[in-house]
Order: sequence, then structure tokens, then C-alpha cells
Amino acid sequence: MKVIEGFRKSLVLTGFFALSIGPGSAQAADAPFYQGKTINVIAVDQPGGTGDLRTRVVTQFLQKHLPGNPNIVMQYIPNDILAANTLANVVKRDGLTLGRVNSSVYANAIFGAEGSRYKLADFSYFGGAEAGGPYLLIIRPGLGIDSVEKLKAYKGLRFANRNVGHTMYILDRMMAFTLDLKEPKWILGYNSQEIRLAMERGEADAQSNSIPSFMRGTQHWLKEGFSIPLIMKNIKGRGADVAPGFPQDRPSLDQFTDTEFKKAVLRFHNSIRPSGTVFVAPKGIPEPAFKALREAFNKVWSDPQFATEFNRITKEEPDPVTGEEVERVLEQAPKDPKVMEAYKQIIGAGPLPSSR
Amino acid sequence: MFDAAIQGLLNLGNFYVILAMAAGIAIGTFTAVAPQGLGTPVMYALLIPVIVRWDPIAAIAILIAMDAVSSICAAYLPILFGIPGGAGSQATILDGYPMGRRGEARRALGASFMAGMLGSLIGTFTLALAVPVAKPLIMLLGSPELFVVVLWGLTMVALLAGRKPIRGLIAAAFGLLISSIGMQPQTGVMRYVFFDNPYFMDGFPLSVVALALFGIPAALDMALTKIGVEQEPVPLLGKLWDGAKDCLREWWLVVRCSFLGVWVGIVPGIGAQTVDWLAYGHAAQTCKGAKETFGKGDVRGVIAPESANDAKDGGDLLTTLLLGFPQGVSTALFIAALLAMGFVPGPDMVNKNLDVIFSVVWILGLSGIVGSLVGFGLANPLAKIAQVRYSIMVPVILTFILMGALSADRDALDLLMVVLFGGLGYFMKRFSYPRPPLILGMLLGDLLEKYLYISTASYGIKWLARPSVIVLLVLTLGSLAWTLWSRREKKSDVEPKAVAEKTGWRFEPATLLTLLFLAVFVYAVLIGWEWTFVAKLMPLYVVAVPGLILALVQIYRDVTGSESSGKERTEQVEMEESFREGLDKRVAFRRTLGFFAWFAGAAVAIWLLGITIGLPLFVLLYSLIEGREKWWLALLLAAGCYAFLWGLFEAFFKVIWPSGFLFLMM
Repeated sequence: MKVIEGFRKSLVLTGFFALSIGPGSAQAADAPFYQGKTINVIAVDQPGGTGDLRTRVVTQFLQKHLPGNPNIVMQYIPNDILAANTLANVVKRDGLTLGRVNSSVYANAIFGAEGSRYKLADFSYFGGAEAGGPYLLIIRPGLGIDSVEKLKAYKGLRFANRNVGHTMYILDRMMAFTLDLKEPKWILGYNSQEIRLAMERGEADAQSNSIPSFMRGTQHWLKEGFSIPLIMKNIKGRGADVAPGFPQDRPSLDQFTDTEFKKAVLRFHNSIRPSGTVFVAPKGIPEPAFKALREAFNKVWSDPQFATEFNRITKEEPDPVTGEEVERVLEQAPKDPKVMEAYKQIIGAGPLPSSR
Repeated sequence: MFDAAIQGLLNLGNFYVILAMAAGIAIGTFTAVAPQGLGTPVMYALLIPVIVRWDPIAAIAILIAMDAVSSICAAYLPILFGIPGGAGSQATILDGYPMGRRGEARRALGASFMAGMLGSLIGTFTLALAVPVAKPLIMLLGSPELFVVVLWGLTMVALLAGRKPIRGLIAAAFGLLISSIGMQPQTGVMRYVFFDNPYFMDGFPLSVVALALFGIPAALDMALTKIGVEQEPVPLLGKLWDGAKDCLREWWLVVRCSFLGVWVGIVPGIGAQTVDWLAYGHAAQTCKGAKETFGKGDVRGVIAPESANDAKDGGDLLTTLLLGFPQGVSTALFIAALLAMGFVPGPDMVNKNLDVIFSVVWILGLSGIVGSLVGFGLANPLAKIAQVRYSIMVPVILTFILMGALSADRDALDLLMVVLFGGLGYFMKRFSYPRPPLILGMLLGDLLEKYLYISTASYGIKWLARPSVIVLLVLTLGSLAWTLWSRREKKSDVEPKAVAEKTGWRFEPATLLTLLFLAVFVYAVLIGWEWTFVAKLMPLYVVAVPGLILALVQIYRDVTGSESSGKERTEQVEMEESFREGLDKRVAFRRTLGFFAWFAGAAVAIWLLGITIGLPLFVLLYSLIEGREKWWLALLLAAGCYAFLWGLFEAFFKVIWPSGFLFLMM
């Protein structure tokens, strides 16, 4: 009986392995590269969340535009650096694994952020649905700051923000650096909702935000005495025009770069942030896969139905940036060590660099 | 406003809305019993692209009903399996699981669902009535006030530590230290990021720690006693209605904890994960005789966290709808759905779509009632799970734990951490180290540091002079003093006995665990010494140095015999340990070792082969070899596990699990 039982157990285990590994799939030589295949998209999100919603709209249209109509599935690594490390060093270069990473991927690579084990050249870029921004600086009521001049004269402005290195923190610091603000302070540790409350309670004085996000969430502040002394254009040169209801007469930060050094730092800032989010693949995927992905993504970005669907699901206007645009902007980034050193200080926690 | 309330109700008089609510209730029930990783946010993300094309009220109905029922039914996992049922339902384990093991699962579930229904209704009425006062209330609480509130939460360590205050404080300090892992937002300093590994940069996942600390000892208890094989399971006692009656009898506790839940829901920044612990601590502090019965299967320890957890939804929606502030991922997605349907949560929605807000109120209330009835309906058959033999239950529980752990960061280190913390959970339980203070420290450490920093950075030290801060501080210190004083009353009965037991120097195995904590605190001090003052203030001066001193004191008490440990029955808030009584020490040791070998083996199999192969393989082998189950049953269990992991996640939801190391190498 023991022998029979042992035989049965072996049979069960063998069957289990056979079922687990599953049948392979054959592929015709002349078929599109992605026919009958599954693409795995590694997203820097938790399942759920607004970032996940945006990515799912893109992948839905990517599937439509990729010849061969591949299956697309999602995998999540909710950590910027871990996801980029995995994409650059771990996944196979077979064109079947893509990534959707945040704009921090660029600066982390350039400045060698702690834990990052990749370079910008480790990726092929396919662009993103959002260029990011344009941005604004908003000041709470009661401080009497309604112009850039008054802002520059004010001492000890308290910016509310999330953490050192966050996109909005860097924007705060770029504005403080460019405008030579007097003794600005950063109150960090809030999440985005808490920043709104902190501004309304008077716990903080100023906040950077993207104009579309401001118009979606806190547009009513415009009627409640909050002031917007200036905006900051995005990489595509767009400003207040992205939101028709937004005051169109606000000056832009680039108008206040009164030295060549400030101009160079601002140029550097823009050039290492070519998109809000970006789809990438590890460098070295098969050429047919790269070509198919480039074309398909570019078709997604220009598809009017994509724009409608993206807007319907996320209530945001897509402002796509192509892979070619991302690569071009990155290539043109200034390489001046003095500028890079100043920028490194701006994105860090210490005092701001001298603007002269 | 009355017209809007009536119109809100009339909006529900549509067949599709009713159908959507029913679907939401069904999905919510499923997400409540599904392992972590398949929660409400995932369902929201999958549903929103579809439902935003529907009639708005029907779309809202499915989302709200799903969330409400998911919270109400979340008690199944802690009561029946001894594992956390997601955020807001962790503290239920402390008394719910001992009740389940004692054969009182039906009573515990009955109490939980009745508490959930009442809590949900209180949350709903508060949502309906609080429209005019919500904003002033929220504005009243700035970071200084929130700091004191978090401090109050932390003083509950004194309650959760019971008669082992020093061990409780050491556990809490360890939890606080874990909460400081990762990048400090204020300075950008990477604290305790071991080997520069990005896994630790965003902090340490609480879900992994909670699953391991509570789930592993629960599974081990079953494996030790071989329940259902060597030891007969306790017969099912009591009825659902007994639990419901308990709940009605404790109506004042329900009301208090519900309002606590509503308040936590309303105030941005406290977080849903704390609500059950705060309510549990409040109950342990105020209920008569709690010192003796809490942690050993007191139904009030189930009623308090469950009523607060379900009432929280009302408060959460209040802030979401009236102010447009989401409190978590689910409400952030709910706002995204509302925006997609043309509603702008906040003042705009109050002015233009008050009837829709009231529809949400009605849906929440109705879902609370129907969800509880569904819970009652399922409770009787599900309560029988408590009688299933260990050879089936252990692989199922470990499946939930490993799947839940891997869902946290989807990294192989999640597996390593769940094994390490599973071991720690075992030793903490074995050597009378209370585990709840560790969780509380981990939950609140981050918030404590954040609000202290923000208060000081914004206001200097002037924040200490704010009247609201002074009032809250007096209440907090008064509450702590009351707790300590009430515990001192009995100390005189215990102290002479402990002194009498002094027999000179001695060494107990528990001291090894204290030495481990001591080593961790020393390491924390050495690593953090070079950081800036702001970066090291909390982990070093507030946590590690006091933790180090406490560990030394504890070691002294251990070796001088001034505190007996281990074998002594403690009165701390801990889970019942009586199931393994009478087991031969050698057998217990062998089985414990075997259990951890299986558990670690499962984690290694998942790492090497991926979860879709590794976990079913473990289930198959465990039930065949260790459980000596029939081959067809083992195969059925493994196939069920595979169908769940691959079929539901990968095939249906298109969510891929991380690949196994071997497949990445090939």
C-alpha cells in the first residue's frame, strides 16, 4: 500500500509541475513581433490610485495600436528607485517588459541618488501622457503679497511641502533661488491634502502646485483672497493657457532670471524633467520590438480618442510628450559642473546656493 | 437641506441603483474575506473606468456599498484565522481570535456585525448632520493639536503593556524605531536603509509586520496542537444573537467608539489604520474589569474596534464630500470617479449637488444595514472554519500571510521580512513581550515625529502655549496618570510575591530576546550618531537611547529574578495561549521547528519559483507530507490556491505577480 501511495504522490507532483509550467506557444516568423505575446508593464504605483488609472488608459490604447494586439498586464513596484533599478538591471531585454516611471527617474540617475543603480542611458524612452505642469505659486491671504515685488520683499515665507526631493519642493526652491527670497522656510512632511489645510489654517504661507491640479481642487481660493504672484511654464512652453478659467496675466518665473547663472540653472531644471511620467524599456530590446513600441506609443499620444478617454477617466487634459522629445531634451541638458552643483544644492535639504 | 435629503432618497428609487448596490455589497463581501492585495482600492481602480459611463447615482452606489460592506465584514479574518483583516480591523484579533479558538466564533462575529451596523449608522447620521460644522471642526485641529492627539494614542502603550510595562515600552520603542526607517521627509536623510536597498527607502510596510506578528503565532498554535487530528476542536458555543445582544448591552461603548471612529475619519492626518487601536485602547482603559479579561476573549474587545472602524467611513466621506479631502487611496479614487462624472467634491458639490451628497448618506446607511445582514447570513457557515483541522487551516493561513506580505511592496524582501517578523512574533509571544505596543509604535511613530516637526517649524515653541494644545495635553496626561494609578492599585498584591521569588542570579531564555532588542537599540544609536539633529532627534534621543536604558533595566530584572517571566500567566493584553497546554516540551520544540521550516521553505519556494508556482507547491506538499491528507484533497487545495493566484489576479484582473528568481535567471 505504501508503494502505491508513494507512486500516487509522485504522480500528483509530476502532474502539478506539468500544469504549472504550461504549454509553450509557437510563433510564425512573419507575424508581428507582439502577436500572441504578453507585455508586462511595471508601474511605480500601488494597484489602485490615480497614477494606476492613468497608466491603464495608456495601456488600453497601446494594446489597440500595437500590431499583433498583445495582451498587456500590470505589475506594481511602488518605489521609484526600486522600479528603475529593476527595469535597468533585472528584467529581460526581450521587449516584453516595459516600465511606467515618474519624472524623478531623471534626476535620480544624474545625481546618483542613494540606492539608484542605473543611468539615463540604460533606458529606451517612449514618452508619457503628461508633460507636467505648468506650475504656479500660491500665497495665503493676510500676508499682502499680490505681486512678485512684494514677494521678494517678504521675509521668512513658509512653504508647505511633502519631502526633500519632491517635484513641488524643487519648484519651491527654484522659485526661492531665482527670486532671491529672504529667509524662506520649508515646512515638510505634509501630504497633498494636508498642504491645502495648512494653507487654509495659516500654518503655512505658500505652496507650489500644477495649474491643472489647482483648477481641479482649489480653484475657489481665487475668490477667497489667495494670491498667485507668478507661474512657471512647462517644458513645452505652456503656461496659464492650459486652463481657460485661470488668470492669464501672471508673469512667468523665466522673466525673473536676471543673471546668466540663474538662466542656466532654470534651463538645466527644465531639461532634466522632460515629462511628468514616462514609459521606458531596458536599453537593448530587439529592434522590431523597439520600432513597434515607438510607433504605437506615438500613435497613442496623437490619438484623439485617447485624449477623450484620458480626460473622461482622470478629468485631466493629456499633454503628451513623445519618446523622441524626451531623448532630445535629455541630450541637450547643460553639462556645466557649476550649474549642476548649484542644482544639486537646490534639490537637497541644505541652504540654497548663491544665485550670482 | 431637508428637500435635498428627500431628493437624495428619491434618487435611489431606480432599479439600476438597487442592482448596483447589490453588486457593491457582493464585491465588498468578497474583498473583506480575500487576502490583502485584493482590497477595495484595486476593485475601485478596476471598476471606475467602467462605471463612470453609468448613471451617476448607480456608479456611486456600487462604490460606496463596496467600501461600507468591506469594512463591516472585515472581522472574518481576525476572528476565524487570527490574521489582520486590513486597515482598521487589526485590533479585533486581540479578543476576536481567542473567542474563535474557544468556540465562540459565532458570538464574536455576531457582536462584530452588530457593532459594525450601529457604528455605520452613527457614522451615517453624523455625516448627514455635520454638514454645517465640519469645516470649523477640521480647521480647529492644526499640527500642534494633532501632535498631542497622537501622543495620547501613544500613551495607550501603558494599557497594552499590562503587567509588563517595561517589556511593553521596549516593544513600543522597537515599533517607533521601525517607523523611522526610510527617508526622513524633512531632511532627506536615509535612516536605517540597510545596504542602500531601495526597499527600505519608503519606510517599512506595516501590513507585513502585522500579518507576521499575529498570523504566524496563530498558525503555529494550530500546528502545535494538530487541532482536528490529535486534539478535538472546541465545539461551537453560543449563537450569533448572543454577540448581537452583547453589543446592544454595551451600547454606550458602541456610541463612544463610533464617535471616536467618526472623529478619526474626519480629521485628515490620523489615518484609518489607527482607528481600531485607539478604540481598543479606549475600551481597555474604560471598561470594567478590562485588565483581567481583555486580550483573552472579551467581547468588548471586538465591539470597540469594529464599531469605530465602521463609523469611520461616515467621517471619512464627510471630509471627502464636503471639503474634497480624500483620507486614503479609496476615497482619492472615489473623488476621481466623482470628478469624471461631473461632480466637484467640496463647496461646489455642497452648493450644486447637495441631493447627491444625501444619496451617498442614504447609500452608506442602507449598505451598513444590508452588509451587516449579509455578515450575519454568512457567519454561521463560516464559523465552522474554526473547527477545520490544522492540515487544511495552516496552509490556508500561511497562503493569506505570504500573499498579503508579497502584496505590500511586491519585492522578495517582503518574504524575508515576513519570515523574520514571524519568528519575532513567536518569540515575543513565548517570552511574554506584548505585541500590540510594537504595532502602535509603528503606527504612530511617523505621525508623532511629523507633527512635532511641523509644529516647531511653523510656530517655534509658541505652539505649546496654544489653549487647545494645553487643554488636550492636560487631558492626555490626566488619562495617562489615571491609567498608571489604577494599575498601581493591584501592584501591591503582586510585588511581595515577585520579591519572594528572588533566588539570586539566573538566566532565562526571555533574556535573549531582550538582548536582541538591546543590540538593535545600540546599533540604531551607532548608525544614527552622525545624522543632523533633526534627523536623529526621534530615532535616537526619543526612541533608541530610552529603549537601550529600558532593555538594560529589563535584563537586570531578568537576571536578578525581580521579575518572573515566561511561564507566569501575565495579565497583559495578549492573545490566549492555552491551546498548547499539556504538550510535551520536546514534541512542542520539534513541531515549532518543523512549522518554521515549512514557513521559511514556502517563502524560499515563492522567491525561487514565483508565487503562482511556489505557493500552490507548498500547499500541496504541506498537506500531503505534514498534514497526511489524501492526495486528491491536497491536489484540490493546491489547485484552488493556483486558481486564486493565477486565475483571479493574473488572468482576470491582469495583475502580474513578481517572477521567480529562477525564471529571471533563465
